[in-house]
Amino acid sequence: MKKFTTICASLFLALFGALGLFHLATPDQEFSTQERRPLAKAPAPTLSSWFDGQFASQTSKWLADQFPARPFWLSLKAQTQQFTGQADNDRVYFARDNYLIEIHESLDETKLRRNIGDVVSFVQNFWPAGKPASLLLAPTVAGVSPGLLPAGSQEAPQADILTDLRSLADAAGIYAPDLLGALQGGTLQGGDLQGGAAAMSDASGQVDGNAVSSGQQLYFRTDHHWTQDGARIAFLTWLEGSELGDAANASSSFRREIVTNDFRGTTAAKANLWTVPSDSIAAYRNPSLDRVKLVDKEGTLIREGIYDEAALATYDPYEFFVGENRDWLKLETGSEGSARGRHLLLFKDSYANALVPFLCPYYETITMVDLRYLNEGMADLLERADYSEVMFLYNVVTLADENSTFKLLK
Amino acid sequence: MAFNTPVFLFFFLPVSLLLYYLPLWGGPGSRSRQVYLLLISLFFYSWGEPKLIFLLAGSILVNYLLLRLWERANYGRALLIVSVLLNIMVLVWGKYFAASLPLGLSFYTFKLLSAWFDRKRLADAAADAVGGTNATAEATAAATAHKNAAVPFTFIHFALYISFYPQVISGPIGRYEHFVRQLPNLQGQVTQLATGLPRFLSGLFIKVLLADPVFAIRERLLTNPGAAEAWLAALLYTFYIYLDFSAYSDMAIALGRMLGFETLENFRLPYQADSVSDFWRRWHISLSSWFRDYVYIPLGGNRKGTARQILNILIVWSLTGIWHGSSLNFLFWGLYYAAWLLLEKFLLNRWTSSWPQIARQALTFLIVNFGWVLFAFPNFGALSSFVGALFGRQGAGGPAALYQLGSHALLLIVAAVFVFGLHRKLTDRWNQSPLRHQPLGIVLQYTAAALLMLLTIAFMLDQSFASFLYFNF
Repeated sequence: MKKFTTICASLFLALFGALGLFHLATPDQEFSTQERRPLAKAPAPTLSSWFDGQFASQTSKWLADQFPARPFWLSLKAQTQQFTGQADNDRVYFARDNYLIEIHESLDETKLRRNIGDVVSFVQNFWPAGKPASLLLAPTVAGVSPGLLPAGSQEAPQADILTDLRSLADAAGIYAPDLLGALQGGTLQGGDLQGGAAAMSDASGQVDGNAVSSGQQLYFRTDHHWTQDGARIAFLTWLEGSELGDAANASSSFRREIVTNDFRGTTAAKANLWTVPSDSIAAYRNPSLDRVKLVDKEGTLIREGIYDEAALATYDPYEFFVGENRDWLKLETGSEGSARGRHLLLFKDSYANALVPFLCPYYETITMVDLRYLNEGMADLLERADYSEVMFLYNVVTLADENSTFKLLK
Repeated sequence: MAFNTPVFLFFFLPVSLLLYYLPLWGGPGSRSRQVYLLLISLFFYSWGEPKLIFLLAGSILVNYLLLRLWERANYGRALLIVSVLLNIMVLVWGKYFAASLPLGLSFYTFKLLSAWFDRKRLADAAADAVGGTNATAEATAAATAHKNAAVPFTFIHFALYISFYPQVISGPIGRYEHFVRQLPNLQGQVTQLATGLPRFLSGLFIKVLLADPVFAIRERLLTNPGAAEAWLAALLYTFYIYLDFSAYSDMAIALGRMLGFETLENFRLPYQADSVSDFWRRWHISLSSWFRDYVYIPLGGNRKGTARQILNILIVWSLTGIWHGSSLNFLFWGLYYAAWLLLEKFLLNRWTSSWPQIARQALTFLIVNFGWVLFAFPNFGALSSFVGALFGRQGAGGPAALYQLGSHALLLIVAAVFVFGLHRKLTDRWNQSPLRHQPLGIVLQYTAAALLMLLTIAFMLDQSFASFLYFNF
């Protein structure tokens, strides 16, 4: 029997060696679409890299990143965790109804107040008095639908801090509608905004500009963003109390269309679960959006058409909305009528990308500024055009971790 | 190199063992086999921070030369003292003054000292054998040479003992005499693999599938803990430190076995201890017995009166504390144990001896658990705020603890089974069952291991190789 045991043990060790050999034989991959990051490459051994330990640490990274069938292993871990009853994997909750929701057990309220304070200072010190300013603070899915979270989860509540921040803005004359209430379905008012279900299910897919249906998926299950349906509710809520008010434009009639059924977003990448089905991306389209010109800082045309169809085939289909995040991007909407002469300056994070198409009919240009990537003083930035309105659009979780609003005051 | 990394598991281990088992190295105890082991040990150690190899190699060389000189000088006291102090100075520098602790320094310095003390004891025993202090120098030398034949002293032996790769980073702190006595019979039979591999794998599984996940839960509980969260976090640290370090020791002992070495056990179900002194006979045995044999007993132990014994206990436990690190909490942790040991010896034992064993075990576990609180927080502010949390200064808490308990119920139950050794009954029965030694049983065992290995790879790849706690000490 000793012989048999020895053979078994030897086979086991041989498997280790075979795995090592197989690892060396498989070609390296540049990028992991599942994890959305570039993968480490094999380091070149040099005498100096050996001696300072770089070679060893890079080899460890390389072996882990390029491990054969790495996505399989990551998913195996996640499935095991879910199977054994874990409610999250330290990065995302395995939430109800196949939602994967980022974990944020605390929101840095001090930082949030500081950042909104920067917004207020900007409006008071840099922004011409009398020109409209608004703040759209988006909740995340955990704030809108806490019922989806696993029982007993310690996710930070968002309602109180959002109310607080909105009142800070309000006191400074900044229009800050209650998006949380609206997304929870509580505060949408006015006949147009309610009872829109019929309009949504119009067989032609044609949607009345100001109708909202009930029971829509307002956030992606596999991504940390809102869907365009969610963004649209936010937009309509904002519109209701804005100066544009009833200026509902004829061109704001949209066709809602599913553009992909195979969207696996950022939270799917953090969860690695096989069992969670992909999301669909629904987009609101109309012909004038296809004529919107995207222009960069140097005035070069990036693309015509606000939606980036090519992004659907990449690892991040959310970029279908407007495109990748840039420090500065101007949309020339081609909108006519009352839109002429209206220039919107929009400070934003990626939540704005799904919403900005709804703004296009109301403005001649929309300048989207992402402070995280901006390298320009405010005075210079404001001189680029005669902006008639300013809007800040952030989701509360991103803003709680944001350290770039100081640039508003530079 | 750590045992729970792909570079070790899928490259170093299979390649180094394959070469070791090939008939390349001659008969038992051949010098070439020892040289091979020395070379792979140095490679293993130098992986990651190659510069530190100079300190290790320098320590080996200097100590070897001093030992040889000492032998020539007929084992005089002065050179022994100078050499021991020299090693302690290097250790003190590395632990308390260097920018970062040289990997394994605490462990291999204690092995260097073990070599000095063991050789001293051998020399004394030889001298005694020929008539104590009255013997002529020549007679003593002759007798020592005779004794040394059983414990040969060559550079390769000495260097291999210090740098032996399963033990060099984090112990167990093997004893010089115990290790070197095995060298003349050292073999590389592939049958050794079967005696070591199962234990190695079980250590690996415990580290990756239990210890690291338990630590992750504890980390999450530490953000704003209420009393419930703090107690759970303390308990999980108690789980973690045992699982992590005993798993490492299992792997080290198993690797030794695959190479043909027997290593003394480092743990014996410490959380089943029914007194604090019992705990220290079961926890990190290679360290506590080192202090017992090389410090406590030479200082007189309990043979020189009560006052001296108290002093000796205080000395040994202060040293045990600061061996773990320079911050004061380790000293307090050591003194905390000194206090409990003294209390036990002079007071508590009379009282608790009538208790049922389970009650004594529970009390011991509580004492140990609180000890780990002192141990876990090198930062004094963090320590006092955590102790405050334990006693409700940040509220009673509860929901977060309940959430983690619910989310990880299965993991924590399995971890508890291993922590308290409840699995032993099952494994004992398995080991006694006839099936265990039949091909079916063996195949079943390795199939189970293969399935657990799949999970281990999955968990290992995703957590970027959590280091072992005792690498820090």
